Amino acid sequence: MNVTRATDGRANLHIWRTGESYFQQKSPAFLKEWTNLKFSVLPHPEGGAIQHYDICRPLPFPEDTFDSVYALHIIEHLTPEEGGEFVAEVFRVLRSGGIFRVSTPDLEAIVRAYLERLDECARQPTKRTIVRYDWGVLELLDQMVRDRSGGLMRETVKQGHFDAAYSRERYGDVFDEFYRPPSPGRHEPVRKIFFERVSSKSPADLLRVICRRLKGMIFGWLPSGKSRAVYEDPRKTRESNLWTYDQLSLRLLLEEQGFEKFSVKSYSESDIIGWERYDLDRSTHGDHSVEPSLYVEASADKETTSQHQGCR
Amino acid sequence: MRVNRASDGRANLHVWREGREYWCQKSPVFLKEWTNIQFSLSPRPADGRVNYHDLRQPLRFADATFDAADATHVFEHLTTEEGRRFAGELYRVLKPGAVCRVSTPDLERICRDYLRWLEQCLKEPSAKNLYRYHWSVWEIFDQIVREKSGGRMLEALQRPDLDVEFIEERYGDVFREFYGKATAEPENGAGDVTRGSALGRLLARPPVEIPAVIYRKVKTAVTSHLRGHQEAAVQDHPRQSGECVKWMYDRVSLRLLLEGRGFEKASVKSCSESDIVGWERYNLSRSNYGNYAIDTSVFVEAKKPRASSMGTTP
Repeated sequence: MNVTRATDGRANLHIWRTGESYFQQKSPAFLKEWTNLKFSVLPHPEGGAIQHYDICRPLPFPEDTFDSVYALHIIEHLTPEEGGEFVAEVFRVLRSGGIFRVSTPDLEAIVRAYLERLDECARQPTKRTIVRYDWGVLELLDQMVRDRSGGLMRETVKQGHFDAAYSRERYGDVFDEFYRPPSPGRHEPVRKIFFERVSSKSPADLLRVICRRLKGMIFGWLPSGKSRAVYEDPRKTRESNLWTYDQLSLRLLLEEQGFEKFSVKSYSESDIIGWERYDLDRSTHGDHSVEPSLYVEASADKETTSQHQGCR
Repeated sequence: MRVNRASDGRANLHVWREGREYWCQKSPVFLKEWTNIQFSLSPRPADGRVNYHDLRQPLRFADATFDAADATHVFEHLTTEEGRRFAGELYRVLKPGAVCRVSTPDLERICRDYLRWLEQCLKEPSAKNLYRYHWSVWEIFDQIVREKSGGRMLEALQRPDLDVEFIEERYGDVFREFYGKATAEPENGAGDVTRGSALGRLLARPPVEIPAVIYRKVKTAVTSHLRGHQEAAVQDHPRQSGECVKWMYDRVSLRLLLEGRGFEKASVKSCSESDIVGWERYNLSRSNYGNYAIDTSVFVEAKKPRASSMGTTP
């Protein structure tokens, strides 16, 4: 697979899964200067600046390729075993001294928020405290238990059973993806992006995309086909969270695979060289993160880690 | 389904899913005095005084049949929607003024303990603290995400570094089930233990029931053999067998659940407290060995309103 180099000559690998608002805000930065893998269990045509790749497989790069790797909201969609293998793969493709940045929902912050909402609601069960409390429980459980895409969270939003200010505070710009205040021109932006996407492709690519769509539709229609199950089960499409980490469990996971100098970062901090140019976690709408998360970094010091023992 | 009456003439409904320790301690009481439903996804005929029922289906009792209901550790195995429907069914089969007792694992307690062990570990990452930290994370979601029966918890119980004191405190008497299972398996002696107790259970039944029980066991064995591998694999999967947890509750959400179906006066109880008449005789939540819960839980009770004009299910 091709390695893209940044303007300063460095090779950085960016791995993410989904996120409309993230893509809109940050793709100009990462498409140009990063090598991009998008985590997808379904096959996609090759080519372009984005490679769709099932990251449960070994990473398609030789050893010591990258100066830094950023895995954005990936690790929680893997089982802890797959997570360990993935981290080992990242260690392999990083140069010695390279930085691995990970972002993921923060179990600690979610639990603290849930307990605060619980206390608030137990003291004074009003419409407002109940709605905020329900959201706190959803954050903790819904993405793990859901059997349908969107889960209870989508239903809750559809029913209007949420506190827009609170939910936005918790989910950042990402909340706007599944909740748009009703407005007359609601569908326009999406359609415009679709046409932009289509018109920017070469005829060969376009044909490939159409074939893929048709195939998807046909498989989708087939009753009880295997691919139908894959398309619809959020655990198979990896929409579900299969685990949730906090600063301690992430540290253990990274150190077990040989990473060192673990540290918790803010959304705007990083040891990755040139980060101020990329700034992938800061919202373009203001001084807050695109999606509030736990951000950690560790470094792959390969010379010293031959003797390394996991700390578990 | 047949309604069983207590010695005081009351009709009480007992719903639970599983638990060897619970069965050993409490079945003499609930089999004699309660009407019993065991939550089971694979329907089978009633076995003496135990009815097997898929709680996602309506209860097969007339409206206003029971004086009290106790649903022990079943709500967490239902999705929120299924849980709401089941709470509505409990409301329907209870008489006005009847008490509904619900118990589930306590999400609040589990979360508070998780934060405590996380903080301890960040201060002092000793092996003991890390063990307890890992366990407290699993308590939040291992039973939700597991793809294998028993999950990470059973694996941990089979390892030699087991922190017996800690686990025993977390799980009360239920720990004995897991501990027995986990330690017996390597020596291949587990079969003997279960065989012995199954035979014992069989012989403890009234002689007239024995042929029916044997018939049922043979039938289950034959049909499950005929069903073939694929379906057996599906049945063994924790999400299909009903082992997986599909939602978790605390004192607030249980209250909201019950009140949302029309119950009123929801209150949190201890393992030995209840407003159910005659509870001191049944005492289904408290261990026979001391004043603690058999399975650490949150217990909430609520009443069906007496004036039924306002009390219809919303």
